[in-house]
Amino acid sequence: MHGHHYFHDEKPLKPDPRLLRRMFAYARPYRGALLLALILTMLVASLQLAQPYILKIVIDDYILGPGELSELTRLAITFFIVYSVGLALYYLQFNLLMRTGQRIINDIRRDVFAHLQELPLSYMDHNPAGRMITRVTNDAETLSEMYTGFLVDLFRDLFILTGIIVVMLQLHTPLALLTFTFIPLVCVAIIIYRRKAQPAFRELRRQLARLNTFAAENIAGIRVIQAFLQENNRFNRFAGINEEHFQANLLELKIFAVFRPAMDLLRSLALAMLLWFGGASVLAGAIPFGVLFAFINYVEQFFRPLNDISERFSIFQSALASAERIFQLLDEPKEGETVPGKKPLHKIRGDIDFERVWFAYEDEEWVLQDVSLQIKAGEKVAIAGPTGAGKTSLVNLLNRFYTANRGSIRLDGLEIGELDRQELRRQVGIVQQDIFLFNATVRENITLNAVNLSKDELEAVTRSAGSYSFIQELPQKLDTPVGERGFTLSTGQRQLLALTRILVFNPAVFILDEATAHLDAHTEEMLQQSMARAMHGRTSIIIAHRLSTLKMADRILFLRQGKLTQLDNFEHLLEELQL
Amino acid sequence: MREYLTLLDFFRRHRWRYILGVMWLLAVDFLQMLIPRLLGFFTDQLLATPVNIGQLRHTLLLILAIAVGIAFFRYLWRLYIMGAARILEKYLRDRLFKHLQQLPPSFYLRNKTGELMAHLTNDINAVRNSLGLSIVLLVDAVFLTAMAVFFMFTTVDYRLALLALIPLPFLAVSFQQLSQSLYHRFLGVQESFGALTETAQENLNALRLVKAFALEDVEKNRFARTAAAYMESNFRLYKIWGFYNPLILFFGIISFIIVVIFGGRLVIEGEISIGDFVAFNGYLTLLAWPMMAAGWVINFAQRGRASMERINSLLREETGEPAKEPCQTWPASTKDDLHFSNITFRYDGARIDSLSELSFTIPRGQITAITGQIGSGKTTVFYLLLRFFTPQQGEILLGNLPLDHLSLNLWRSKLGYLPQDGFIFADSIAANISFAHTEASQYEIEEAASLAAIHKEIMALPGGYEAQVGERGVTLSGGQQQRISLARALLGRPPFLLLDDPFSAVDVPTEERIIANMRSLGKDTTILISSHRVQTLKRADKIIVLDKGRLAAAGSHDELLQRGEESYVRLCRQQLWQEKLEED
Repeated sequence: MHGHHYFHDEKPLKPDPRLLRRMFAYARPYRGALLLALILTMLVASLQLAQPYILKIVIDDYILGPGELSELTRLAITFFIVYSVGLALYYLQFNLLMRTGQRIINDIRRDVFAHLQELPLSYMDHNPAGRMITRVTNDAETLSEMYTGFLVDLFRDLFILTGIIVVMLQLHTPLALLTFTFIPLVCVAIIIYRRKAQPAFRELRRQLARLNTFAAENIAGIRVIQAFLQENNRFNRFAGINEEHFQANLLELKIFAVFRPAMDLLRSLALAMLLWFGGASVLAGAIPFGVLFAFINYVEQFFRPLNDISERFSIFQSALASAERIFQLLDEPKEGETVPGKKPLHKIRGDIDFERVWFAYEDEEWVLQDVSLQIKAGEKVAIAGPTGAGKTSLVNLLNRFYTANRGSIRLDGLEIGELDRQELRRQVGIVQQDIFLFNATVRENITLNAVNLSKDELEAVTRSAGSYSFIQELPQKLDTPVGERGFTLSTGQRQLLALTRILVFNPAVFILDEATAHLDAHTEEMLQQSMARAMHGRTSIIIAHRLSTLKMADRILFLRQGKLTQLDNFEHLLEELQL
Repeated sequence: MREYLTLLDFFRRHRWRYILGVMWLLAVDFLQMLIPRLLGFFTDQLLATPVNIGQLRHTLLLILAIAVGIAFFRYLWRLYIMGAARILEKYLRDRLFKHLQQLPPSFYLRNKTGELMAHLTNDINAVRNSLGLSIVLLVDAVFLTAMAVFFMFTTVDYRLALLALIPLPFLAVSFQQLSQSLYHRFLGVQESFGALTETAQENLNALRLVKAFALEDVEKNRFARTAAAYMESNFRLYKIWGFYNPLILFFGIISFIIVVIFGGRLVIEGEISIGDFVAFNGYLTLLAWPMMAAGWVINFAQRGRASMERINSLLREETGEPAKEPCQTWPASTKDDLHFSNITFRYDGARIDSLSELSFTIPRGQITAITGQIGSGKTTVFYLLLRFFTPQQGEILLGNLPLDHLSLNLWRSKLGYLPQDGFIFADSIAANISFAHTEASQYEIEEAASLAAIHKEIMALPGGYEAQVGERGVTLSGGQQQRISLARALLGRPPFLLLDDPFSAVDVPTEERIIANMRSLGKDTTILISSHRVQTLKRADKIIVLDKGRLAAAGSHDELLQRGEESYVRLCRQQLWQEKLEED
């Protein structure tokens, strides 16, 4: 149940043209840089192609031919200079290409992140956060291989292959054609390898996922395992999975261990054939020796990109899978669009009107049924009711975390669906049940980096919220880091900070979703004062669990099974609770 | 290299694999050296007058035979060395997992699941690479270089060799420099990637807050900054990384030019043959690979060492068993009560005590309830009873026998424990219930399920007891999970039941039935339950009220009310209100 999902659904992917088009759309703004990188790549590759040709000239024209030694030196030095310039270009090309790849990925990453900010909460409810984080981080990273590793390298490889073919044909057509008879053989070898390797590789991934899932579960459940003395049993099961993983690992190893030497052998065969027939041509005087020598070198070069292509394929596949996952996320519909400036909210009084509101998370499973509620500006309303009655859902509708299925909700007489969403939320301040603190300083947690406050203003607001004294006791006061690696604050202190936020943001409407935690008398009293400050002058809706909180409200409502009723006999109810 | 001493045992056992693997690799390296020389011979034979066809054919066949040999030995070294690395991977993973299983909960408080998983995956991978691929690269780097140089000197011309190898030391030095800063920049990239992940994670956890306060733009900017920092760290890496290949090629081309000018002259002057020239060029080409390999070796080795050290530090963590001479047999005093005697306990790194000077008794054969606000130390009491942690002061006594005089396994075998969140494993329901008693019969499993009032619901599931729980199986409600965990604790009828908040998701009538069932277990079962519910507390023989780790009150429900214990009355009133709300 405590799923750590190390599974990726692995299916063989065929490049979907739409997907590719979208991937290229991200590269479009950088097409100038990419084109330049491509040109540089070809220049550099040409130099690689030129080297055997230079040797051919050296052998045929100077060593075996009548060429002058001084001219040979000049030729060598010229080539050296050209080549060195080429290497400088190579350096530039590498940086240009890799940087461009990172820029593209950075764009995608930012888009994904921005999209995540705009997704409706209902999407978040159904998808584990871990999976979404992976989209922003690892998936984006894998995709970058697509732009740098795959795209340009593939292009270079094809360029080199074509270049070698052209040069060979130009040098000596019959010998070139003869050499090319090996290409189909190589293709067959690659196809066989892919057929064998792909399922083996997939099985390996599957076993690894099993292994990791089991290990993660074990770490999460270690207390149960130790309390029940199951260390050995669990280890034996782990060892079993580990063994299966090992077998898959070995199979993959064996396939690869055959493939690479087989390719080398093919290359040697090609070489031997070349030597035999090329040698005959040299003897017959059909070609000078230098040509044969160049051919030998070109055959060596020919196999290198072919070897790489099989690796490129796996990169391509995982990049494609990542791309698919990323674009799937980007296709998720956003929250109802904001219409900036459509109905500007200048100063809100805070009249709230729920009129015959129906709401369900899943179709027809009504959480709220025909709820009507009017709250006058400045009024303080408490809502009580059993867990799961829909209290939190009710307030989640007001700040448009979710949308009502029927009925209408109005703020100051304006339909909230027609208001700018962000503007609306700024006017509806909420303290949630579990209070989130960023892994940042106390100050940042109060201002949320969205409001600029001077030192004096901060002091005033924390004093007013009743959080001043405890902040003063922290080692670095307002600059004390809280959260994961900093100070852990008590439940009461966390709530004080959340209430301080409300005073900083100064919304017209204040919503408090009280935590169910039991508090000691002192903390409870302290919090009550802060709550009173937060409620002062604001329309307030309090989802209350504590009796003491209920007493602070002007009016108490009771929500049960999605229906709202007024609670009039509260005093009477309190008496009943006498033990 | 001291880091790898941990694996000494493994190396001893598999030394022949490595020795043979390296031998096959050396064979490949050696055979590779023959090819350029043979090509040289072939050239000379081809250009000789008169041409001896038989000789040519002979050389050609030799080249082919060597190629077959190379392919064969390549296959072998891959199998031996890479295979050994994969055996190592398995061995190390088993060993680390086994060790992790034995580490006390205090260790798990210090280490997050994600980090531990990283050790089990990334670090093991890095070690595997450092003991597989980098051994190959190392051997190649050393022997290929040495052999190529040797062949250049001996079979061609030492003057040409000396001249052509002038760039080599420069290449070595600049590579050394390069891989140092490459490594650091690589770490920088990893670090900023970590920061990127953290920012995304925090944002997603805070999403409700982000939306409620309309912080979307603030967050986008924050993320854009970390993403840009990550990008910049990559740029810094590329600046160095980009030198890698051009540098090799640059020094390579210098040698090439020297060979063309100087070697060409030697041929023309008749000092060396054209075949020597061809062979020499072949050796020069062969040298490029070990140069690249050398750079990678340093990189892999550095990463492998760092990972090995991280794994070592995990393996150095001490396992739980305390040092005292533990008693291995169950003493007669089992019929006695459990006493907390003046216990003070503080978690590692905490600022305040979780329990302070706490004393109370859990009478045998009765139901004792423990209550108090969140953070009052209820769960800690359970952890100490389970001996997950050892108190800094005071002791827990079974009768008058200190608990830590019993062997840990013996003591735990007498416990049935239900953790607060009722942890369920991704397995069948039957396997979950018989977790601690894998030999249990179906009858016993169903009996435990009936005691926990979950039998009927299990039967109603598709697959019944064999239904799989988890990602690909059935989804259980919180209450069902709790009761299955309870059945797991009840199976085998342990004399002590430690139930940490077992009914929080179970309705009151069901709870009533379960408690009645547990009462029927008789006088040999001592039960400790933590709870907030007044209904539960009322049914207990004794209630222990904790307040900030201290004992606030103890006694039965009626006694506590009669005495008007303020802490308890306050708790009850709040709780009753809660329960009133839940009533239909």
